[in-house]
Amino acid sequence: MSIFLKVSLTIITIIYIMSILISIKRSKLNSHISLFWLISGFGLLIILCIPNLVEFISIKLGFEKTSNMIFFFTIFVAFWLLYIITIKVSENYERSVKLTQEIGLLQNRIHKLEEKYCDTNKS
Amino acid sequence: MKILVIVPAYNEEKNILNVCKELDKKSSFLDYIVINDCSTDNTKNILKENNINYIDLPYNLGIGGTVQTGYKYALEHDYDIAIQFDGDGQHDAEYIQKICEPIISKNVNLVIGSRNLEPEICEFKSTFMRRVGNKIISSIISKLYRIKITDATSGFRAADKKTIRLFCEKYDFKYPEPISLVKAIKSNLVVTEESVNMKYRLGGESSIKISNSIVYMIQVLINIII
Repeated sequence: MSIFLKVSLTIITIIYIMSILISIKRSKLNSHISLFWLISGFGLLIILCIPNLVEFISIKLGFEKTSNMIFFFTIFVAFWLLYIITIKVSENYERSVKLTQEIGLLQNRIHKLEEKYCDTNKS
Repeated sequence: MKILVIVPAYNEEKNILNVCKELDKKSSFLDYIVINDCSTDNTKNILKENNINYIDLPYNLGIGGTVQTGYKYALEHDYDIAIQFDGDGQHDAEYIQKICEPIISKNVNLVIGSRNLEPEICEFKSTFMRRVGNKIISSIISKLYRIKITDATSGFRAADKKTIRLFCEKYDFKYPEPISLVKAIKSNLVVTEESVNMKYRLGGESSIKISNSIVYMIQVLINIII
């Protein structure tokens, strides 16, 4: 890997980690998922700092090519993350349904109380 | 015995008033509540102008979430029986008493108003695809749980307090009828069927389209099995 490429990749990775840290600080990311992004950032940094680390691991695990291993793990993690997000979306959907129902029930109750109040005031 | 009729309504401006008039005739022994699932037509205004007891949902929940709102209302107001009754005028109010009967006299927990138990009294015939789908789902449930079910997808049903509580906890949003039926059976509730009449739809559109029926089947089967 040329020095220029290495330096620019390191800078990009550092920007990546910085932006994650900023998001955590502004509480845009909640702690559970933010941990994953932080680990991914530092993992990239370690890979950049220790040359031949990825090659070493891929040979040990028996991959024919290093790029195969990288693709395999990236796709695996991406799918896993998608799965987690789908779960979160359904959880949120269920919560929003509950809230919607509660609002409807409360509105009905308020409406009835208002009517009752008006009636007693009139009489 | 306090009886509540839950009427889910989505864009039913043509039918809802007739349905309410039908139910008004029975007002000596039941209350009813219309749940407006964020209709885009005039349904809400009709309900308001005619002083009908209704719940207005701030956004569209689909049939499952709408009906569950009704069950929550029934639980909150301590009703003994909650009856699900479509807002499109398909269900026949004359049969309300009939489907309540097993709950009152035989300690049954859930009564399904079946179109297929005595097909000769039922005016309405649904499309071929739907009849086949309904038959498959119903016979699978019957075989699996050793209970006679002929119309698992019927939306005309009566639930007692125990069942109301169960449905308030969990109710499927997309395919509520067969899935909630299975849930009731799995929770050891007593389920029976009564034959009812269903009329042709007066207007409006059904919530299930043919293109979705295969997805419907698969989803329901997964829910039955697990």
